[in-house]
Amino acid sequence: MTREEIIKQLTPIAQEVFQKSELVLTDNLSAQNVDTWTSLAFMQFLTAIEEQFGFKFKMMELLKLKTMGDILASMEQHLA
Amino acid sequence: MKHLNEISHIGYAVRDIEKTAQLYINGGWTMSEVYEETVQNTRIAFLYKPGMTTIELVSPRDGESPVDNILKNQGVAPYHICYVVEDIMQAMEDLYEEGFKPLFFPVESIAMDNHKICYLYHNDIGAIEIVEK
Repeated sequence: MTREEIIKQLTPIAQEVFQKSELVLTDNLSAQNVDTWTSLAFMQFLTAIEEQFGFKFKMMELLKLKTMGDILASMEQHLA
Repeated sequence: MKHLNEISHIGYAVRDIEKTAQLYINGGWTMSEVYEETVQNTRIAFLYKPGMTTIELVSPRDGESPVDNILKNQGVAPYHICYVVEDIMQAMEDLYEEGFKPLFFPVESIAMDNHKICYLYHNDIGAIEIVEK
């Protein structure tokens, strides 16, 4: 799956979880610049990704994810 | 869930620790000192009464704290149960396999006598805290 395909499928999930209907996925998105990116919303987002895309993040990998860029890079590896 | 056999406390998000605590103190509870916790930028105090589960009151310090979001979305409310575990890394790994996601690496908490703590989230259970013995 390409990065563009991932972003296309991931965008509506992110918009719903973070309650931002106009959210555009860019690498720098994080809790620092999305006010609804709470720690619990972030965990809900990662859970939704696993359910939608059919893979599971490793625990140590998950603990290092901080930005949308980190998530997209990890997803590219899992879905290659 | 095999690690979740002993409850340490129930955590309440509150706006004003002293104000909430006074209601419990009036009912015969005793209160610990108030800890300034940097892990999540919170103030923490514990309430004790013989035969009762310990209650943890958590309020935000100045600046941003995850507790702000809980207060904003739910108001003053219980928001986690804390369980005592023998080995926090082993518990995290086993709970992860059962669908819990850790919010951060275990850290020492001054409010818990510098024992290691971690918060985890499960879509069907909500937030829990674990503290190492």
